[in-house]
Amino acid sequence: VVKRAWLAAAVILLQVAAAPEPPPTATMSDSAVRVVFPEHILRRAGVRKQLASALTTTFLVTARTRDIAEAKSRIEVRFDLWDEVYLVRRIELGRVVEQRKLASMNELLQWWQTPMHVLDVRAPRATLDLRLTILPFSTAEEGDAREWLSKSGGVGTEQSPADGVVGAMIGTTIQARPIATYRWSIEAR
Amino acid sequence: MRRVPIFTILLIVAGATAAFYFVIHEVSRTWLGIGLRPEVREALSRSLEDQKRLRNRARFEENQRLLNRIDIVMLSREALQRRIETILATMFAASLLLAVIVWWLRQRAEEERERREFADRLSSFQQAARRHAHEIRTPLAAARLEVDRLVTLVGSGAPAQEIERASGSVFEELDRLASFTREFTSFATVGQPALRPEPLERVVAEFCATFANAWTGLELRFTAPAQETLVLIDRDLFRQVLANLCANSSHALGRQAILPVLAILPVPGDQQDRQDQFTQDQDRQDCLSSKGSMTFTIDRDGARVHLDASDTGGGIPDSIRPRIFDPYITTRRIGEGMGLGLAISRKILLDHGGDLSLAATSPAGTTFRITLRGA
Repeated sequence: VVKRAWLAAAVILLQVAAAPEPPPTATMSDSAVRVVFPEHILRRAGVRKQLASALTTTFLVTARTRDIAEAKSRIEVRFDLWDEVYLVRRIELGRVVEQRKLASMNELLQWWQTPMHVLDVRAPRATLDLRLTILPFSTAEEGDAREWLSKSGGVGTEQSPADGVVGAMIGTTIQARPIATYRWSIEAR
Repeated sequence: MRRVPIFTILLIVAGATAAFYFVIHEVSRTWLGIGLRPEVREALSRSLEDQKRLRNRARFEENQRLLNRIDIVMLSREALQRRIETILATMFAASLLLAVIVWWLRQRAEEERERREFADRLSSFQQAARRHAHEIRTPLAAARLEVDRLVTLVGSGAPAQEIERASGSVFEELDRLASFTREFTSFATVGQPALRPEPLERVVAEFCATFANAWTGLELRFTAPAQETLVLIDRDLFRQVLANLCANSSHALGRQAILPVLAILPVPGDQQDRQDQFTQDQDRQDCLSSKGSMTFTIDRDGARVHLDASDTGGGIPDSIRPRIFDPYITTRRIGEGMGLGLAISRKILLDHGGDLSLAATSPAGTTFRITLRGA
């Protein structure tokens, strides 16, 4: 009996472990499609580690339906080491910007649950193709690092950073490669 | 020169590039490793905490920016290293390949030049051999005919006057042969000059005065500059050069087309012998002469002194212009010269530490430039 109990527990654990991660949920009101991303994205090891760094973790959101061309929105999260708060910035559809300071990871997770306007659809329901790309740093930080590296390599100077072949070489090498990429097809209603 | 196969060259380039890639791999790894050592990051993190405690926000942000940069480079480290290695190795291989191509092209050009030089040398030897054969055969054939005639005349008891005329003809042909060998000998025995400081304008003026009537129809012109110009020359050899140039011009005036000079260089002997021989040879050319002039001009250029000899002949044909100083290059008829004069003249001047060059030529005339060392 004990053996069977252990076996059953193991099976349940395996099922739990193998269970698919929940997708985002999408709602529609007045043709605006709003999406809530699941928490597990922020809990992912690579993302968590990145959120703890002082770099701006960037979440690029691309949404489209069969009839509507893709729309882009973005979430940026940076942990401010001085104030020890999360500085978040959300740029929704139509370049509506929302900025906040969040004191803890819990607050961040809570804020993460607030819906984000990603697309406008003039229909009662729509199937949404959603893509989320997580980048380890922002474009501004990328540019700053490129310039610094070109100077550190002895190629450029304070007055004139590296250009030409070497500049292009460094420019195309220092690029944010995604930590993770998610794709979903979800129903919005 | 042995030609290296292209496959071997490519193999060498590939090998060198691989070795270079290995070296640059190590260098770039070390370079990136120094900047991205974990201790550096840890030290910076500790420094951030210190700045925060000290409430030094400016320094804190500066360090934080540096930390961010290190983190970003760390994230791109492998790609960056690969890129640096690839680009440097490609540039190295391209440079090496370019160098090999240049070397290979130069090798081919060198081979081609050697082939051409050999062909030219062979052609010169052929020309010289042909000319020697002609120069000897013509007077020999004439002398043989005259001897035959002499035998007949003696046998038939011809008058002494006629026999004397026939024997004179034989001697004339033998003289022609002697003249040929003398010319040839003079080319072989051009001695080393005994250089002494001489006033050039005086040497040229004396030459013009002495040889004023040496070439019928060729007027020698020279206006001595006020300032004396001392040059290092061997006076006798130098006069031979001037005489060669004048003889050349005289011939050119006769034909209205300059021809390489007939070497009028006697075998070494006293000055009178030289002049006698010179005028004797010149007599043969008088018929070719017409009116013209040879003008000498002195020009100083630092330590060098130029003496330009300009005639009013018909210029030098394009076909022989590049090889005008080569021996046996001549357009003269058989018996009129071997084409050694300019070669001898240039040899003399090179031995002087100077040179002889063709300064200009056109249908209106030709200028040769004599370059000498100032004393």
